Amino acid sequence: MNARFVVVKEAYDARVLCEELDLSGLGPHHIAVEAETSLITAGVEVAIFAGRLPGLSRSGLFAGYPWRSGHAMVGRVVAAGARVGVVEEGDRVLCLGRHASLQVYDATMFRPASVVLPIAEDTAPEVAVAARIVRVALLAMRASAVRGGEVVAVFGLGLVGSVTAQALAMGGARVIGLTTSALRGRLAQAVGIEVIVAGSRGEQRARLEELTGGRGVSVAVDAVGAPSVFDQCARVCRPGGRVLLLGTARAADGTDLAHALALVQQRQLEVSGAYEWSEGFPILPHRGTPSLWWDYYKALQLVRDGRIRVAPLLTDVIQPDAVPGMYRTLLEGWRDHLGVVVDWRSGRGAGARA
Amino acid sequence: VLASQTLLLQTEQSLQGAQRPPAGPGAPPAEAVVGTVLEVGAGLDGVKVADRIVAIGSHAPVQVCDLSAGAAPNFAFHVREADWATAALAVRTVRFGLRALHAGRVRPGGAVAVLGLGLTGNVVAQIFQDAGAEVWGVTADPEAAASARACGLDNVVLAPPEAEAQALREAAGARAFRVAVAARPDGACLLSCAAVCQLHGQLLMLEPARDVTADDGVELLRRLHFRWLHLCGVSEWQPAGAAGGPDATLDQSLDQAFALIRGGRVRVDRLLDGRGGGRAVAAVIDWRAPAAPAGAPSP
Repeated sequence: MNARFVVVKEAYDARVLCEELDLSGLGPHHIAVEAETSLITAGVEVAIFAGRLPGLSRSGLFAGYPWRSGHAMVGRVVAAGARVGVVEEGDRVLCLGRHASLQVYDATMFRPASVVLPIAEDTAPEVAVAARIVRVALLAMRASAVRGGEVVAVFGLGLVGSVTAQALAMGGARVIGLTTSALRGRLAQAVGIEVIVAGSRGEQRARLEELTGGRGVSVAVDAVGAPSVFDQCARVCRPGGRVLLLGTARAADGTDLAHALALVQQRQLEVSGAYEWSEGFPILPHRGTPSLWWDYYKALQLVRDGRIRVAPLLTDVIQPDAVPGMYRTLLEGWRDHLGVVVDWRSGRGAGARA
Repeated sequence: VLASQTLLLQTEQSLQGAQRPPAGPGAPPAEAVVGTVLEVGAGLDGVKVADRIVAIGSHAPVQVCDLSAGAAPNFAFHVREADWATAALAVRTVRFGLRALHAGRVRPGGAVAVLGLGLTGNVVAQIFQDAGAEVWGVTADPEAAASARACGLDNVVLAPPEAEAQALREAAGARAFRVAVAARPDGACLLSCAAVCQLHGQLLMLEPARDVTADDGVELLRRLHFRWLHLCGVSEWQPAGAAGGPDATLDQSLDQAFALIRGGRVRVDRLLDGRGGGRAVAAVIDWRAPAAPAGAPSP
């Protein structure tokens, strides 16, 4: 069968190519999934597109160019290996697949990157695919150990930041969302984040001071992944507060971290990392402990029930051929875009042959 | 006439050497002083003339210690006549070490790395070891290493900062460090701690890190993020407005600290004057002597 897929051949060179897939020799743990939608996870994908690679090889998400991009897709199982138990042919599923119209996916139960869950027929595919991001928000909730009533500042209202802010508010926190983008501020408001500060870094600090009566916040979340944002987090935290590093720091941005680290020591702050693909995190549920599969199941429930709203955050639904251009757009004009979903259901053009 | 909440102290000894910054604006430079109270200002309870105390002070034969609430943090902790003055000088550092132990949440048998074996690092390492942890200390200074061994540290690794993480991993074998203590105030030390710490482990920062390059800063954030590490600041005084923290009052924690010294569970004798091997990692200035020793600050 013919399949189209997105590949980043090298930095600044992304293409949509075509390949022939033979599904007759499907492995016992593999499934073939025909895509409805896939989600552009802007942080990682744009970083790889732009060659901002430090740390990525360690993350396990990138082993070098050419790189088949994408980490989340919704589609239908068109074939399943003999030992695949969790889904079967004909099921509609969410999985961590690539941007491809049709792909063979390893559904081995004990591999972190092999999550695949059946989803209901009436769940909108562009919403269901965003469960991938909601799972990150669940991690943030757990890692930040936020208690009800605590004041939490979420810096960066991209897809991860906006969804995390909603999840923390759902857990009882008083969330303040901060962004330098007016559009992202408006979208965050549209999904119910009550207190938004959209402005420069200086304006954000001043407004936070005002909102907390000068006491600072209990928890600050860096949902961007930049030294300057970590610096902001340390400055606005109250003594004994916590900073959560949700975004991956990719490059130095001219911020001298000595001051922020001094604040960590003097105010007895606790800075915690929360990387999505943590080694050692349980994959399958066991006696009620958190696990990867449970997280995805819960994330799907939350987006389906509308308890976490993602639809207003999806600014772009694009055709597959537009993915390379979108990488460039996200790189240069990220303020004007948030959630980008690739729709594979129509416009099945030929693409270039691999 | 002494101001309220102050006392006049005749100094026996003062301690110089800990690298922690002054506790606040105008804080005196000595780590601690031991002496006899000559005079007590109005409104100061619990201290009387002729008491022997340890306090935070300055390098001076006679000095005023301000214990008022508005001044920099201080205390007047009673020392018995029989107590060795040099031991008393270490009580502040040992109390700080207990705060680090409290922040570290280490279990008996858990592996702890302490990078930097100056006065604070050495004391913190001893306290963790006393609490049942398997402590591995690292220093680039052969004499600090000798002092640490003389103080009873079981595992001491000698390595320069650029190779300390690797040297520690090689020496400690397959041990996973649950806690790594940054007892040197530089970015490289924090990076080394992050490198040796196990997944979900804890980094304790005892001093504000200086000289953090931009690249080191990003690398530190990445290691914290990818490995789910917890970087915790440890300060000597509970920051105003912070919830939780050690339950003990100041006096209780100083009592606890001095009990460790008196009981020989923290060996400060070998640390402050180099008795029993190694050189002293901090200078003790004896103000009872007719003249200050060579190299000591001028009174």
